[in-house]
Amino acid sequence: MWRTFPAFGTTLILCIMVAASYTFAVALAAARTRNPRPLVSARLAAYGTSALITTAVVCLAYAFVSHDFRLRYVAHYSDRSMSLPYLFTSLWGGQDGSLLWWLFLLALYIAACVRWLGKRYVELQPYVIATLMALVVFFCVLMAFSANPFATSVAGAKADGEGLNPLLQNFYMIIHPPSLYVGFVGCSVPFAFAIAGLASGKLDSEWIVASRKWTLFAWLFLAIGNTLGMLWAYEELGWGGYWAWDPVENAALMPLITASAYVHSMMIQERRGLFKVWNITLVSLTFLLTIFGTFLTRSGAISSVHSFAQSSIGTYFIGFLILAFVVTMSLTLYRWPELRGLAPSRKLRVAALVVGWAMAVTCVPGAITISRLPYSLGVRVALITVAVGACVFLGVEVVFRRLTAGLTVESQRPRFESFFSREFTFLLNNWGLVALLSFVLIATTFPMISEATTGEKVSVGPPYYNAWVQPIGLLVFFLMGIGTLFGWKKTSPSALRKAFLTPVVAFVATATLHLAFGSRIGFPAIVPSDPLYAGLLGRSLAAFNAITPLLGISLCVFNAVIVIQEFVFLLRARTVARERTPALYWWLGVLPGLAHLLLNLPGASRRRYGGYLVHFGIVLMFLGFTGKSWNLDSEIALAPGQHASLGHYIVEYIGPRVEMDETKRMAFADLRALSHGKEVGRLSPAKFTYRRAPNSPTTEVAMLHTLRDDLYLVVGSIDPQTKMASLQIHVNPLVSWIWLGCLLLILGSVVCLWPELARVRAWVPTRRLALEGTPDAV
Amino acid sequence: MPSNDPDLELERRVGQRLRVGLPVATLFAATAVTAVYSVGPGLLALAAGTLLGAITLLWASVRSLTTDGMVLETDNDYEVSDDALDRKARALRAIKDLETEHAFGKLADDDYAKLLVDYRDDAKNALRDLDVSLQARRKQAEQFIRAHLDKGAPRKPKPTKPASVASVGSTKRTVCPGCSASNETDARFCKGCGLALRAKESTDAS
Repeated sequence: MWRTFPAFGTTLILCIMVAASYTFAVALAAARTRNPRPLVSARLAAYGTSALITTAVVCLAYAFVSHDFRLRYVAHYSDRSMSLPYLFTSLWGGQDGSLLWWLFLLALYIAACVRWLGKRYVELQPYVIATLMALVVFFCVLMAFSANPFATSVAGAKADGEGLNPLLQNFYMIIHPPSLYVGFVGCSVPFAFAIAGLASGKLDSEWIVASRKWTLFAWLFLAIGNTLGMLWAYEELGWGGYWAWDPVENAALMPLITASAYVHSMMIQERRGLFKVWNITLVSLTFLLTIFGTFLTRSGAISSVHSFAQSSIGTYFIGFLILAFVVTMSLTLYRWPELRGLAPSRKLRVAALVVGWAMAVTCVPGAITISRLPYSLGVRVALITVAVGACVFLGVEVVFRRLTAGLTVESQRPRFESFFSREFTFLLNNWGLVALLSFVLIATTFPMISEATTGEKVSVGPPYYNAWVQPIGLLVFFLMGIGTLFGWKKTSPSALRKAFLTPVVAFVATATLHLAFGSRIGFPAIVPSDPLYAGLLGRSLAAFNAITPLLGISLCVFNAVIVIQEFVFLLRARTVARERTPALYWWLGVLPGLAHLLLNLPGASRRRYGGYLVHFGIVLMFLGFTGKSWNLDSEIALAPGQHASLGHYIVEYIGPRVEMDETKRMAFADLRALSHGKEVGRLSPAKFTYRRAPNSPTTEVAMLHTLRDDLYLVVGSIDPQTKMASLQIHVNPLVSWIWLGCLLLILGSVVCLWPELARVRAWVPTRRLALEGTPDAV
Repeated sequence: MPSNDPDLELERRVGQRLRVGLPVATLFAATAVTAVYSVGPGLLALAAGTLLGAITLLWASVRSLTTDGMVLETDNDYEVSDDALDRKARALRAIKDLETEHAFGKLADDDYAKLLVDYRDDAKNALRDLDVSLQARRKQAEQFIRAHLDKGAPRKPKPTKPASVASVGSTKRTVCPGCSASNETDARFCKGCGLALRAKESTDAS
């Protein structure tokens, strides 16, 4: 191994920084000159930068494979006993490497995006490249000055490394961080398109259409990453659940919420030219939340189970966050006339910039000051509301009007056709999602907020999250179904009655059946809980949460029926249009028939029905979340031969067993599970003690999965003398439906992302599906 | 871009070869070295290849800025977007949505007819604007079409009988005498076969 390898790696990072800066400059020159030659140059340089980043990642992988323990990062996150797959996993196992890995994924996105852009979107392209390059420069600065994966240990090379955290050495950890990163990094591409739209002034639907597939792709991987995170927590952490409202979990959830809102609202801009500012806000928010999430993970500002990722680079992220926010807000204000359908003029732009920024710099410090006043919470919230309201009124009605005196500031943009339209229900759904985001954001950052306002760090615990998220989540879930029942533009009352009839009947029937028979089958419709707060608010929340199981199951059926009904409408329309899926596909099973049906639809319809499949996946996931209401937990110590019962399960302890391998000592507790008197499986929860971390044994959960419930066993300790095992037994109903729902969600997203087939082929069903007339004869 | 400079010509040829050759050679070398030695040296071969690729691409970038040197991408044929195109796409999309919602029974006949007229007007205006913006290239386009037709593309059949207006469902339609496709009443040409449905007149149809 050559001696200058670490220096070579560091030089590579500096070279990436120089190449990205050069590409940034050339791309801006291309945008300014509108000459294709600088654009060609910028495109080539973007490819070159991506290749350079790939070189750096491959070099780090080489350092891991060749056990180059001179590198601090390699020594810290690997050892000689690790197998090849885990050595590659170590690339993102720690902070310095995960930043390089992030950069590598960004490089892949850049190369793919530049390739995909080809010779289209010439006005947007230079700005897209420039924005992505600015991101590359940021990550290079971060690595070069604070988290260099090629930095050497001060003490010199060790004989062996410290090894990867045992918690991270499992299958889900191989795939969970990369998929979440793919989602996180993927949010940069739609953001780059939004910035390109703002910078170039092309604010029609072009940037939305151009970034649509990228957005869906990022959304899909955010969803997969979050679900894999749940699986990892469920299978590996051994506390009996899958979601603990940990700040880092929330950080990964928040961009998913805004991205979900955006994939719906972008359809409205594409179709109607509405929601331009809203879409820019959602895309920017999604991107900023990915950066904010990383800041939360890395800064240690809020304590989390992901504490292994903490470091000092949080300040860099907060700096970048502020910079990105300032740039986005300034560009949005500058383009205010175009966004609001007004005639652009210098006066209007200046007015928007001045008023916008004046409001921002007055409201935020003002609100912080008021929040520190020695009044009760209610009074302070009221004061902040009044002050912010007054500030906005003054800014918009007095200052803005005065600055734009003589100009037409009446918006010319299109308006809603009717409140009974899909557009309006999408808007409601967006508000619901933003309410959910606001709650999660405030609750996650509450320790920081409370410290800033009262000087005391107060954390929000899972019971508070559960109490508040359930009503908001169910509202959004309800709106998800409702939106599907409305048509675009305007829905006639008779059509609405027809569309609502079956789902509402199904909802009422399910609720009645649940109330009547729920308790008998072990899923009672009403599960009371203690109020979290004293007074009316606490009682109302507790009352709502008590009926959550009833509402959850009934809404699942309501939404499922809606999706099925939409597919029935489609099949009927296709039958009328004599466009049928060959019967053979249906005979082979539902899936081939469904695949043929969906993949032969024209682009817009395919996305629509792919979206419905995603909705069905979400229905199944909600079914799983609702199951949480009926969780059963027990902690017990058993001697060999003794048994314990929980729900319909009886668990019989056979005895302990100890095994050893090269890296760890494994202590198992062998158990037999019986249900209704019949043996349903043998389970062996265990404690693994790794040689490298003898003081922190890991918990290996044993589970029995069924569609009805999971039997989840954790062994706390096994006494070597008495052979007594202390066990945690959990019966978690309906959890498997979450994973099944995620699979369906992936399937639906793939249908949405399926590439357009040949134009001619796509037109055939379009013409027939429309029954009568096509727009091309206009 | 032809050039008489032999050095430039050589550089361009090298660029074209490297475009395909370098990735293939890198992957082959990395696989071969991994098979013969181990993963470590294979990774080094991969790193060497990507580094070479990065240098080539950055060099090509600088050269394409300054001269007609190494060409990995040409700078012609870039598509230029048009606001009218966007408006046309949006109006057509809206019409498509209306038709789908109407077919699924979510939109009443009256509302459908009313909204359809509005969006068809939008689409017509956008098409008219497009026509104006493309006027400069119209002759060129007509030459292309003539050349294509002369190559032996099938001629459109002459109208043999006047198109009939029929009422399908709640909306009036024109049935094409050539192919029986159902068209809008103001359509000048059949959308199925391109047959002229009515004599050229000063209508607002496009």
